[in-house]
Amino acid sequence: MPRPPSPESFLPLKPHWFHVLLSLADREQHGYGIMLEVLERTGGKVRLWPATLYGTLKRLMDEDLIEESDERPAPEADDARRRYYRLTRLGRRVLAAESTRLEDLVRLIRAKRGMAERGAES
Amino acid sequence: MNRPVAISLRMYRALARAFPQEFKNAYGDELVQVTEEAIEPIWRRHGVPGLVRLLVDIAIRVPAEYLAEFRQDVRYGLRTLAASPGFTAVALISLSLGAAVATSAFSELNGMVLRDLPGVAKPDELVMVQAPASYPQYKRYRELTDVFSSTFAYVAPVPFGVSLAGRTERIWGHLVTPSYFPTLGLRPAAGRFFDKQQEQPGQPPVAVVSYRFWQDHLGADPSVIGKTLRVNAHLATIIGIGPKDFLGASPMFFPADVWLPVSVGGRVAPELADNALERRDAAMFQVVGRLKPGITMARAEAELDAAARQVEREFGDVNKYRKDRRVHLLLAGRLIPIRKHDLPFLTGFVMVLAGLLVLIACANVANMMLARATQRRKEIAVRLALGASRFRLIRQLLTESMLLAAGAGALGFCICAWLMHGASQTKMPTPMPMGYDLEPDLRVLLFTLALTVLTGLAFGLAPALQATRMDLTPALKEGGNVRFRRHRRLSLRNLLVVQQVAGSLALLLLTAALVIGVRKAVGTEVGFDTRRLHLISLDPVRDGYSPERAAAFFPKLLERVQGLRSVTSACLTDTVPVSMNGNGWVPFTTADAGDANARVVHGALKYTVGKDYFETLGIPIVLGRGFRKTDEANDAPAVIVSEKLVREYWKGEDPLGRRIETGSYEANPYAGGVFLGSFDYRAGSLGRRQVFEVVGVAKDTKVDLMMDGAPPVLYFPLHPADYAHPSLQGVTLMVRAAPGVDAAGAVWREISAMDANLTPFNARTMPEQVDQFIFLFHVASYTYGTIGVFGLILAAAGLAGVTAYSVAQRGREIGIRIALGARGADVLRLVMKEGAVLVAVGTAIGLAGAWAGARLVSSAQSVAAKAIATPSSPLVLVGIPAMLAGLALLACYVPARRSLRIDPVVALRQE
Repeated sequence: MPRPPSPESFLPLKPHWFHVLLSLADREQHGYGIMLEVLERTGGKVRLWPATLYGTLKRLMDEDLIEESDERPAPEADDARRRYYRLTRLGRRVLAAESTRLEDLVRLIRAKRGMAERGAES
Repeated sequence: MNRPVAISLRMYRALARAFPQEFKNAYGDELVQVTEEAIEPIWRRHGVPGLVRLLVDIAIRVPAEYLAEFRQDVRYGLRTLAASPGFTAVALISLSLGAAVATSAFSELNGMVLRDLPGVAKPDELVMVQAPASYPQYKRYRELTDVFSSTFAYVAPVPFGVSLAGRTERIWGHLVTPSYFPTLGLRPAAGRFFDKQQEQPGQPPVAVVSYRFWQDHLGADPSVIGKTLRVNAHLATIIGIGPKDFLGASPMFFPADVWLPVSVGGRVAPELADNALERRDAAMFQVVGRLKPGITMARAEAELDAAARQVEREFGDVNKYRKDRRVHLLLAGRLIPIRKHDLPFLTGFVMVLAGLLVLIACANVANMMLARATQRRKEIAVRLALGASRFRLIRQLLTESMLLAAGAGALGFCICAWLMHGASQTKMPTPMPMGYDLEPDLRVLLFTLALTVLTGLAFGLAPALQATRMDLTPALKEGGNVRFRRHRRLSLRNLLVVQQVAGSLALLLLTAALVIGVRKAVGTEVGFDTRRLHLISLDPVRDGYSPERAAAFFPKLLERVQGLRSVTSACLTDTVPVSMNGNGWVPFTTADAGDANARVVHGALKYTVGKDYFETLGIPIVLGRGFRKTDEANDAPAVIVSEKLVREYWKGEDPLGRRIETGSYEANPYAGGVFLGSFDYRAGSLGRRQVFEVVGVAKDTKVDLMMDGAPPVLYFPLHPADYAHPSLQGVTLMVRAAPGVDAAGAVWREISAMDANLTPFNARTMPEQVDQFIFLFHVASYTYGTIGVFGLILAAAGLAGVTAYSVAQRGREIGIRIALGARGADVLRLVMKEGAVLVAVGTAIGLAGAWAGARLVSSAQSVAAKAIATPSSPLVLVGIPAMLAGLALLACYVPARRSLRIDPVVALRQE
């Protein structure tokens, strides 16, 4: 059995992958749900077009970052044709690693900007 | 739903159906469903651009998914190959050997036959008259302006004595009409080419030199235009430098470094002496024309032929009753001028041989793949059961084959490039520098690529189809590969054994026939003593001697050399025996009154030799006398014939005193030698009629490339006229040295003592001359030998592999038979019998294939054909099939024997 890959080996994460993983961070979702959430979260800036979305989902499944969920929502909200996806343990760790990387990056940018502003003042 | 949305959705669904099967199975429905939900909001928000974006999205994803699948296949394939390094290594070696041989064969063909003349414009329009013509004839040809847009004639090869830095070097070139360069469509690298003016005789001599000559001999001096060059002891002004890489219109056989216009005349170029431009018997001009657009070669050939016939009619030539074609056209835009209809054959022969080899390599690997596929039955069955499509699995297996083929193709190409680089560096020991470049080019690369794809399919497809065609249930069960199939006779496995035997046998027989034939042809036994025999050539006319002075010089030189203490005997000769340049083939008729056969034209090799030739070489005169001094006077009628000639034409008659006539029939200038370069430009198509009388018979010497031993030979005495007009090899002084002394040095000193300005060339010993002569044939026999050895290795490995595998597969069946009470000997006999039937069928097909191949090869006029036409020894015809059959049966026996040792209980338990 080959050892599972380390989360770091996926970094930096492709933007689409990041968005999909982020959408699944707090709950299970079906494909359309992921699409709507990403659209909403980014204020309409990022639209995952359907074919791209499913290409990404397949890739994430192949890499074992997400899996199909066997729990279904309440019967009245359930559409039998829909599949629900959730993060795997690896997927959660990859998402965490990417988030940390992005936070570090943002911190770096802020620090740089702060220095530049101070430099402009003096 | 409005119209744009409906149309988009319909298109979207169609595109979604184009996804790869696996993707479609997993996500197809969902994808369409999501799109159905999302399309209305998209339409409302983005309008038509939104719909377009939606469609573009899926249009990009479809190929991307296929690519992803392909990448996955490649990764998986590489992993599988890496997991069985033994199989991978053997397959790679097998296939790259095959690819290397095939690519090398093609590369050689490409370098020799397929490549166009460098730098020449529209080479396909250029045609060349096969036999050289006389200048008056050329003048007639060039009037055919409705066929040719332009024409030129040239004499080649022409040796020039060029003075460079104080010493004279023999440089080869062409004597050309001014239309030479314009017709080829060339531009000078510097200066200009000849113009119309140079057609008039009496112009001051001008010369064009090759780019190579300019770099190697003139120090790439940019101010060289307008300077003079000493050519044949006359000053010629350099007016231009040829384009880079251009070495004349026939660079393989007559590469040219210096071009002089034919108007320089006989004073500068001895070839043109005696009004050669006016004489109809001086057929030494190669004629090349550029066809007008839309004119076919057949049309041009017909018109030229008509023109040639008209010339014959006008002058009442003897030839006029001949019915056959006078003019044959060759493609002149190639490195070697060839007849158009010879091209498929030339290509075919090499390709058939190489193809057989590749086929064997493919069969080897296919067999191993098949064996592996059986081992992988479970893996395949599991994947099929899990819903992978058969097509997908076949593609997966084919990807593996393609990976192997690609690796082998790359390796093979590297081996070929290395081999061909070595071959191109090898200097051919020809008297004239033959230029050739076999380095693989783009065309060769494309060939390798095509070969790779083809072999990948050839050895991959059948096993892939076979492996994926299975009944799942038994395969999924442990060890479910025992089936007593009914129709075993026609199974793929048996076909492979048969094909393997047949292919190997055909290839080995063909190559063996070639190798043996070439070896026979070479025969280093030359029929005279070659020890301590030294040769040195002179061509004083090109050092500025007048014909009279040359004629006076040679007898004096011979006398002085014969007087040397270190020399036991010496002679002068025009014809050098065992020479790459070959000798002219002279047609003759008997001129005796009352001879019933007077009209029969015979032919013989023409030797022009000094009177001491027979004594120096040690060739006995078996009847009559040798040449005397009186025979060397111009127009003396004495001639000596070889024993073979007497046997052939005058069996049982007394040859002495018989008279023969020469000069009345056209000599085919190409007939004497094997190579294009071997013709003698002095051989007039219609020479003066001359009658000779046989004064002696010389013992046969096997000195030429004749498969059937010594040829009939006519020895003519060396006349003073020959000193001024020697063959391309000059006049050669042959010296037999006394043992243990440096005779060559003494001769050299003697020559420079007589005239330090003379340029002796081609100093060599007779054994060196013989080596030089058979060099090409050694190369040929090594080449075919190497192919044969490659083939033998492949055939042995493959045959053993196939049979061993096919028997090993039955191991469990054998175990069960034993468990059921069969005796070991009976089982062994059964296996061997079945093996023997397959081997017998394969042998029969292989023999038939070899016969067909030999017929194909023999249909051509070439050395290879002559070689293969020599009957193969029974050793080959029986030995090779016996060896292969023995090998195959051994490969049956060993694994069958091992299977017998399987404990029947183990075999049964696995059921």
